[in-house]
Parts: sequence; structure tokens; C-alpha cells
Amino acid sequence: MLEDIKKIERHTFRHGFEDGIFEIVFGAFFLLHGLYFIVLGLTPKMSVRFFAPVIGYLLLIFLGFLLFKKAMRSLKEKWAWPRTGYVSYRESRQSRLKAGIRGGIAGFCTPIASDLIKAIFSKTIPIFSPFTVISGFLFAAFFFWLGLRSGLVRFAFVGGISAAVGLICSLLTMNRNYSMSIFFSGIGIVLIAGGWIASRRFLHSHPLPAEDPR
Amino acid sequence: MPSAPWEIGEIDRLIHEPARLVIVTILNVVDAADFLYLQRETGLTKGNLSSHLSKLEEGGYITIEKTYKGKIPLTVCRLTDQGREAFKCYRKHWQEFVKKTKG
Repeated sequence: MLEDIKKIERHTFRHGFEDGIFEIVFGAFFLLHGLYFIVLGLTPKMSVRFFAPVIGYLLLIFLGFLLFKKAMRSLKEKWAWPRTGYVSYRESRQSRLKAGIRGGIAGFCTPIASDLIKAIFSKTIPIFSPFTVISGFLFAAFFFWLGLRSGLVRFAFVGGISAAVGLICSLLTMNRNYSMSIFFSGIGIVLIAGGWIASRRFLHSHPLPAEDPR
Repeated sequence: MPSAPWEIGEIDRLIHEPARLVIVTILNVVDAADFLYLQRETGLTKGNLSSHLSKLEEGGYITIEKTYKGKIPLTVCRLTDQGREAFKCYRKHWQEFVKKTKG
């Protein structure tokens, strides 16, 4: 009985990701990150630059989140809901708070971990961008968790790629911003490609229901 | 909350019925779902699903809102706080029951 309940819960959670829309939109969000880091790398060093990246990044997160929600809804309305029926997932204040706390902890720990990695590996492996390797592992953990929770193997695959690309990009002898840009753009492309394949399969396996003759 | 296995008779029968348990479990994960979604996920016929939803609504476990999206009618179901609490109790009850019968 309890196992059946767990199975239904997992299936319902998984259902939200089967159409590939999440990956397409999340991938676009990653590409936006990639663009941000390119712009940051191209921006000449000025006195304002110390504050500009922080404000720019906060704007990117805020506007990106709004765009993410809007794009998810409109794509679901167009592709998924006419086929599966309307469904919206719970976003409790508690879960948003938890996500915020986790994000805050990750944001606080990243610079410390970055310095630590640089100090540990400075004599053995020439890591030029510890931020990239940390981002790679953080997103890998997120995608592995998503894969485990939803039972969708493709998320674990993206997690593996995230860790590998993060590590490779951190070893490249280039500006940190460019290496971050390559990382985010690479994962963005992988996500969009995976989402596109998943959405094709979804559209094929979920044809539009026939009109009710009554 | 029953404390012994023989108190199983006290289980919430409104949720315990298999089809309704599936409906409540789905609605506990999501915020809202429409009739078509629930029908696809439960595999029930329209009449059957409608009857179970009515029973859950009568019990105060779900709310049913009838709206329109353009010209298409939409029947959106949501679990109420009472329904969520009842499901939580039902689950806990079963966990305790399983623990006791195993031990």
C-alpha cells in the first residue's frame, strides 16, 4: 500500500518532466547565463565594474526566473496540457524558502570552496577557474537529485556531463568569465537538445484526444 | 489515530477506496489538476471518476472548480487543507500498522 502511494507520487512528479519543456526552458536560462559571462568578459575594467556584475547577475536571476515561469506556462499550454490535461505543481512558501536557503548556502560556500580548491590543487593540477568546477559539481548534484526523484535517467546523464564540462572548462587557460560562459552555454545546449528529443517523443506518444461527439 | 492493528476499522474509508486513494495521492503532489489529467492518470471512466470526485468533494477533501479556457470547459480539482491532513493521517496510520504487523 505504502509502496503504491510512493510509486504514484513518483510517477506524478515524473510526469511534469516527461514533455521535455523544463529542459528546453532551463537550457535557455543557461544560455542566458553563458551570454552574461561573455558580456562580463568583454566589458573593460572600470571602477563601476565591481558593482555592475553583482547587479547584472541579480537582474539576470530575477528576470530569468520570471521569464522561466512564463515560458514554461505558455509552452505547457500549447504542447502538454491539450494532450495530458491541465496540471500545476505545488509551490509552497516553505519549499521556496528551502530553495532560497540552499541557494544562499551554495552562494556563500562557493567562493570559500573556490579558494580551497585553488590552494589544494595549485601545485598538482593547474585549475584556472575553480568557480567553473564548483558550478559543474553543484549542477551535477542538482541533476542527479532530479533524476533520482523523477526516475528519469536523462537527468543523471546531464549531471554527469555537467561535472565533466565544469572540470574541463576549469582547466582551460583562459579568462574565468569565458570558461564560465563555455560551461553554461555547453550545458544549455545539452539541455535544449535533450528536451527537444524528449518533447518529440512526448508529442508522438501523447496524441491529441479525439473530440467528444456529445 | 489508532494505536493497534485491530483498530484498522477506524481507517478513513473515504480515502481507503483504491480509486479515491489514487486521486488523493495525485492531488497531494500537485497543486491542481483537471478532469482530463485525472482521467488519464487513474484510468477510470468519466462516470466513475466523476462519482469518486463527488464523494471526495462531499467529504470536504477536495474542491471542484468549473471554469473555461477559451471555449473549452475545464474542471479543476484541488485538495483542501482538510483533505491534505486526512491523507497525511491515513499514511501515518498505515506506516504504524505496517511497523506493528512486521514487529
